[in-house]
Amino acid sequence: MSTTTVAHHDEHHDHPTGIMRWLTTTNHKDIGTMYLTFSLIMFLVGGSMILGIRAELFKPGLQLMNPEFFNQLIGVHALIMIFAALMPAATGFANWMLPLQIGAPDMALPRLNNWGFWILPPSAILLTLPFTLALFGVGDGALATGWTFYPPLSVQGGIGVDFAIFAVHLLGISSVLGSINIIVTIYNMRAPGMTLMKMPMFAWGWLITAFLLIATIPVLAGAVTMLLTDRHFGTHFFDAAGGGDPIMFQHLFWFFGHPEVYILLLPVWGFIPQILQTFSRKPMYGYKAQVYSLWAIGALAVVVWAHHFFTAGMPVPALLYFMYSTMAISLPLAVLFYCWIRTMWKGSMSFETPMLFTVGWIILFGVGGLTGLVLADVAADAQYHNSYFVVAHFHYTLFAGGIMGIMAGVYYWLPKMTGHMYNEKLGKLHFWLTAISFNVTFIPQFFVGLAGMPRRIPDYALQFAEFNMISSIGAFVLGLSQLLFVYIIISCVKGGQKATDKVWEGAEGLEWTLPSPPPYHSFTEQPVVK
Amino acid sequence: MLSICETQCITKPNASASTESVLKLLLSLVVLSGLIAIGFFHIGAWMVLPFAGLELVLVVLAFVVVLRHRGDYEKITFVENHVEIEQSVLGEIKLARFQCYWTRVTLREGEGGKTSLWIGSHNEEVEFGRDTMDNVQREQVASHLKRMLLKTK
Ligand code: HEM
Ligand SMILES: [Cu+2]
Repeated sequence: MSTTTVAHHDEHHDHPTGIMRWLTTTNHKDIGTMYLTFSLIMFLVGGSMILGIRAELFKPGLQLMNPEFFNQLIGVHALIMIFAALMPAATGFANWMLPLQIGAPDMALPRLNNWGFWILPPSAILLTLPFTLALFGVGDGALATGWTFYPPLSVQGGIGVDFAIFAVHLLGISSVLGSINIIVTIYNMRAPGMTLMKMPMFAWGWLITAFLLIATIPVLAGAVTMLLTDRHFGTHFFDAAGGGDPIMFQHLFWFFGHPEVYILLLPVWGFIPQILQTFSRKPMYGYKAQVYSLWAIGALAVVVWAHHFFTAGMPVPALLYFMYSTMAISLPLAVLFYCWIRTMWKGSMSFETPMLFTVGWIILFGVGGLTGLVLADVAADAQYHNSYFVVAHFHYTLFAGGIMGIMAGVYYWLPKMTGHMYNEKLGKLHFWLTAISFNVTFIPQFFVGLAGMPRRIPDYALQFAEFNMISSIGAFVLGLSQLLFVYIIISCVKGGQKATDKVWEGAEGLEWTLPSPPPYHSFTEQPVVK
Repeated sequence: MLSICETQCITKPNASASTESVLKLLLSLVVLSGLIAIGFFHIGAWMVLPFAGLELVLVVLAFVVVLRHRGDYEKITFVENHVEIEQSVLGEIKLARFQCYWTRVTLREGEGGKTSLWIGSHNEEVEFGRDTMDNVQREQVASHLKRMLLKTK
């Protein structure tokens, strides 16, 4: 060990402490931690909102809130979960792990990285502020349009819509800054010898995500800006009476919105195979096939958007095109599923919490993909569109496929990040509670959806009462189980059994060669990539 | 990147992207975003265009900022009884020479837990490897230098 001592030197710079440290940090691990913490907090905020919804839906009839407020909760819940919980979690992992995995001292543009994060909290405040303002008699609450902002409702709505538009702009800027940083880092900061085709899968997932963000965020930004000018500056982009077209908004929104769902999942598809190979103790199956499939999904993602509004009316050839192109996504997705399962095949598997979440993830996300195929069928979608079936579908993809994947990543990397092992027993309990209550919540929603219950309504026909009650009970158990998750994380940060450098017996990759937790700046010797 | 041998330490920023691959990447982003923006322009949603343009400018700027520093390096060489420090930033080379006997090597604690490595004698001091090395590497260089200097005393 070196004997060099560190001299304290006051005249140069007294380094910031407390809040200033976090405001000004450019260290990728600090920023990653901030992203992950923010994500967890917003996950709880968004979760409490939806428990309000499930409480209202526990019984038919209006119990707790008026329909306006009900709609506001639904819209803000979705925006928060998508933009403030799922996306920041993936970005947090990127900040923490990408430099470690590709052997870089930090992200390529550290200051940009700091700005990208600090744009997030103000936008979360913008999203939720209208609720508070309404309490003081200003405005009529948050946006009541759902997360999709469809006009004419969004053009007629109150100040909540304006707040949400500005929030979306900020969130978009943050995503673009993050993507630029990640692209530059992956392109330019790889250790010598790490060619693109030797990169960890997580880097691939994120590279394609960043591509998609850069391609689609301007479309969203343009769409909501046109909404804003329609609202306040007398334009008629989406107003049929003025020669505009409300359907054009749907095209714009979903041109962003469909790729967005893959933006949320590609980073997860990146690290899931890494977890699988760790706990199957054999290399991942079909690295190249997976990389090509990720690219194929990324490419298809930008050409299938209109499957979200088959029922809005379009020419039959367009219906057919969007139906077949959407269904085509399941081909590369099937390749991925095959590779994931083959990675486990005949491996010497063990089921620590990250692996439990991963295996559960494969099954539940599979349900999400298969029900997507049902919705992609134009004839069937005429029945299922705007029903609870859609709600159940996208929760299997976004809660199981997104959040539970992130949870697998949290348990996988937490020992590396904190230097402590989490409580394995509680972790497993958290998995089983989450997996079971998730299904209790959402399986009934498939049934009521098939039977015709529309989404986004505060009241429903009596025939749906039992399933809704079951779903609400599941939702409350699911929500409460997440407090256990918070407890496990906090106690792991505070202390616990020391984690080894490698943490998991089967772990492979540069991040596992560093001490746990990794030193403030990471690589001593140039890492060698074989 | 850091390489240390007996009489020389060199550090450079990581640079895994060739100019060609960056140009290809930028071109593909411009074509992709451009096509999308022009497509929407055609159906009347022209406001996508300025956002796409702004964003592409940012992407290009980011690469320019990073690639401009690709030729940077910092080098410490022992020449007879002198330590020579050569620092090249954007093609501009700064040289410093110190008598080995009088040279001091100091590692200081700086912003946010990041250390800084200083080499100098008398009233002059030069910082080495601020952005290209991490704490551990700085410590490594510092102890190597100290060992080398000790030999000359
Ligand atoms: C093979 C895979 C998939 C297919 C074929 C598919 C198909 C569809 C279709 C046709 C709809 C529209 C239903 C309607 O509104 O009538 C839809 C809705 C949705 N899907 Fe998927 N999907 C797939 C995978 C995914 C994935 C992986 C995600 C997320 C990560 C996802 C997230 C969503 C969301 C959020 C909605 C509803 C958006 C809304 O209206 O608010 N889907 N899906
Ligand atoms: Cu879609």
